[in-house]
Amino acid sequence: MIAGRPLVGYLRWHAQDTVLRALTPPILFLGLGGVPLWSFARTAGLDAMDRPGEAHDLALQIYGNTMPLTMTLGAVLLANGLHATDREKQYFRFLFSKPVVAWAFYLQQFVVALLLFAAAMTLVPLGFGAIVTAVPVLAVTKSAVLFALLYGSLVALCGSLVTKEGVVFIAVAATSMVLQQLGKAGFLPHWLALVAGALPPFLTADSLRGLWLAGQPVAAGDIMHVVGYSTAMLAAALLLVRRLPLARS
Amino acid sequence: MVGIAGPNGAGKSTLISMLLGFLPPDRGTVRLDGLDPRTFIEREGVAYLPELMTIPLQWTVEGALDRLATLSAIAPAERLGARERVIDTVGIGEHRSKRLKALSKGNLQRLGLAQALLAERRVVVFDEPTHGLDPLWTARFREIVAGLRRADRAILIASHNLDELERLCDRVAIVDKGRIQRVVDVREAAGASGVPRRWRLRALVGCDALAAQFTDATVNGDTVECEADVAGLNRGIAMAIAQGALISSVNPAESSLEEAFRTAVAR
Repeated sequence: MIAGRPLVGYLRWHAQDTVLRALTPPILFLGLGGVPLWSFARTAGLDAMDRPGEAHDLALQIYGNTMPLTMTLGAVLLANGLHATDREKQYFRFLFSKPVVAWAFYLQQFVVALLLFAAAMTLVPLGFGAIVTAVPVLAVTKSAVLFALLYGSLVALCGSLVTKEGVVFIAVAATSMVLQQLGKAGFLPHWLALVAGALPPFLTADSLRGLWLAGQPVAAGDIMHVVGYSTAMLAAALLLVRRLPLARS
Repeated sequence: MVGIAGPNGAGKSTLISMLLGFLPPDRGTVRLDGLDPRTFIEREGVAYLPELMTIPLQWTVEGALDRLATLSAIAPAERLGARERVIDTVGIGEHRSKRLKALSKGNLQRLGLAQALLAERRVVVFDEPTHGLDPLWTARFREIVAGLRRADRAILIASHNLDELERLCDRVAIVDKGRIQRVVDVREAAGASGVPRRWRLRALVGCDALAAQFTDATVNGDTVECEADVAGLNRGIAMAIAQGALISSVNPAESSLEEAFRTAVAR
């Protein structure tokens, strides 16, 4: 059995293939938050943004609005197209005529992408802290892992079923968020609230990120819910990779 | 070495996809050395050249071979040597640092062959292997494939090119409408002497005398086309020569495989 060894050697290629996707959040942050911060720094001065006061509050507000947005977008883009593209463009014919276990190949790719994403996301508070003012770093790293796991595993699950997984992902995510918001506000009948509760826990992940960034305590049960749900989706995605034929559009 | 021949849409590529575990069969089972195809491939891999070169076009020639050598479970210390060997074998050294999108169809096909040759495999599967190759490289491909013959190796070649299959293979399965219609033993068919077949003969002198030896013979200039078994052909030629004919060539009007193919897929 030689199936384990080729994948270890392929780690560098998986990293090379996913590094640009992983770097999307810092690039997005520079694009979305960098311009207002730069123009604000020109008028108020960088020093003012690092001292308690109006400039400091405004800088933190820009950071607080932009960072979660870039994290969410980056998490969606991270796993989009990974398996589905190999299937649609028939790359699998070259990859999996070699002694490689397909589901293990995609699991490794997912883990590498997740770690690179978390590392790239961590650059945002580190960079912001170095240039503007100090912000929590570990909270961002933890949130990035959680978001990459939840969003990435749902995208992976959609991608193992259909080719246009982005469309399915948006439909599932939008439905989940709307129903969960309505359920939280008590606007849903009991049965529909149960359905909303069974959908991917986007609101819980959002709430966890907010609490972490605010430095407040979080419920371990909520973390378990998001991590468990995501792991189950990822496992289902990998099982489908194993069970469903690769030669399909 | 087994060939698979068949008209377009006959099921050749589907058969190969099933053999490699990329598609499940509707009925029955597929086994490679007693194992489910995916299990077999996950254990030892196969040398596979698909019909279309579906490799990401942003990869470079060397990068693609490095990646696929890694996935082929070639030891790190041997990867460079394996890469250089196959680059040399298929003659794509001058393109080594090019991106695949810059390669011609023929060079892409040679890269496909190169990646299939990276590691020693017991099962070799080539789907339309000379698709896009020029005549020189088609001939070189035949040499390379002939060099792959080994007692413990199964080589399967799917092709539209019957001449190629006849030159390379021991047996050819003719597939049509998703079924194997006939398996032709190429060596046996080529040597079968008792079966009447069409022949094309050229006579520099005495063309009419030659045609007169055979029933249903047609004459076109200095060429006579007739039907006979090997013994009847020789008798007719001997009689014509005795009457003063000067014969310059004798060839089958069509190969035995072409004949078998035509009858097997007759609609």
